Amino acid sequence: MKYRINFATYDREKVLRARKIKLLLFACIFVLFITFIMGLKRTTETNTELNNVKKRKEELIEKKERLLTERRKLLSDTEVQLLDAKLSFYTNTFLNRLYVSSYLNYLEDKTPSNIFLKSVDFDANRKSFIITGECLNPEAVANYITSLQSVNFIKKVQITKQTFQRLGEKKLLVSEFELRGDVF
Amino acid sequence: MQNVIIIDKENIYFLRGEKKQSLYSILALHTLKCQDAHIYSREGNELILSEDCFGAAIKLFQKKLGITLNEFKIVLPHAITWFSLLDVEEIPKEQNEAEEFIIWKAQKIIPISPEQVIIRHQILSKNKTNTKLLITATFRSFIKSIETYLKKIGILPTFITPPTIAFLNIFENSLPVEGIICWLRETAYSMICFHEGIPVVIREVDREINLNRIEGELYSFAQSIKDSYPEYNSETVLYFDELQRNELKTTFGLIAKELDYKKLVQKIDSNIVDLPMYISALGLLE
Repeated sequence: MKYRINFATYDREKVLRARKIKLLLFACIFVLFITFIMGLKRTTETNTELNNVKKRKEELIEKKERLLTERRKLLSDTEVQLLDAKLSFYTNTFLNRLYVSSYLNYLEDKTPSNIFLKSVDFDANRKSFIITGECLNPEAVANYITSLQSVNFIKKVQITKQTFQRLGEKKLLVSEFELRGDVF
Repeated sequence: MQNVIIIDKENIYFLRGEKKQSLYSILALHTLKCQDAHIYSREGNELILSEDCFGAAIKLFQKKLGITLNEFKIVLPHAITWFSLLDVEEIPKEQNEAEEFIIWKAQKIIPISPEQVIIRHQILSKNKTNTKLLITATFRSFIKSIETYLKKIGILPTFITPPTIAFLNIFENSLPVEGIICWLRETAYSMICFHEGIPVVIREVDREINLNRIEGELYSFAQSIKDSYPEYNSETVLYFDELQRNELKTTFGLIAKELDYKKLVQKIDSNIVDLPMYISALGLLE
């Protein structure tokens, strides 16, 4: 058995523990100090960058004003309005074409063979569409809605009208339907 | 590498060494005799340290070694510590409460007031119903003056222990289960009785004893043990003489077996003849 009778009031373990805590505290303060310096440096850099962007923006605004003034010298206000309207018309036409062609491609893929489409009305400005069609099996409409909703840019597809008609000595039941939905 | 000093009445012994796998290596030994004065003196209930003498010794050791010492372990002088072994049911778990409990228990064995002593304890054995405690007490004024002086000159006294406790640590593996150890110094001696593997009586005596009387003292001590512990019947006696006196070996050796320190120490220089004087310092090396 080791005898550990010690009359010394100096507790080595306590002092070593205190020394470790002090060291840790110093390290924490040092890290905080470094973080503060880095933060300060970053803030200065960001401010400089912000000032550069502001300066660049002012330059561009100035340039725009200058170009507008030059344009006003060359064109009258009516001509400008006509040009703007023309630009808007061509842009919308271009966008409509783009949307409609993409939409029809998807629609072709998603429309099953037992669904007969009668009309497809696509409005690119309102970002909505109306589909009318016919089918022999009423359940096919529900499956068609589900398959349309699975397309990632089509949402809120709902049936707005559905009528049934018997043909050929009332042996065939034809369902006519109208669907509305949004695209985004 | 550790530094230990042994404070005696007239001498201060310095030992620098280390312990590796229960073997001691000694790197330096020095002794300083305090001229015309004692290193400490008793005044009433206080033990006063002679700072001049103590300080001169420390400075001399530093000068001889040519280095600045930062840490010291200290072996106290003989017979300034009270020892007691107590059986208690259990001691409080809170440190403050435990200290108060020990002081209350120790009041009966210490002849001076608890405010004038420093008390330390160690649990020797513990079971569900009984806890055996070794309680030691020494002069508060003495410890305080040593610590104050050393701190003033930039030295940390990390461990301060009585000589008998230091001695027990050196011969940790040679301690008897039943028996008595008698440790003889030039002007003092200790006797420790072991029963069931733990010390039951420790007695430090600061008195120059005639060699012819030692045998009688030992028998008297053994008899008093038998009175207190009737079941104790061992005749095993171990002894250690710091001065390695031949006359003691012939007379005392008949009844006792000498503790061999040489097998504990590595690389003993044959020129070192006074190593036994430093033996208690080895007990503080870790």
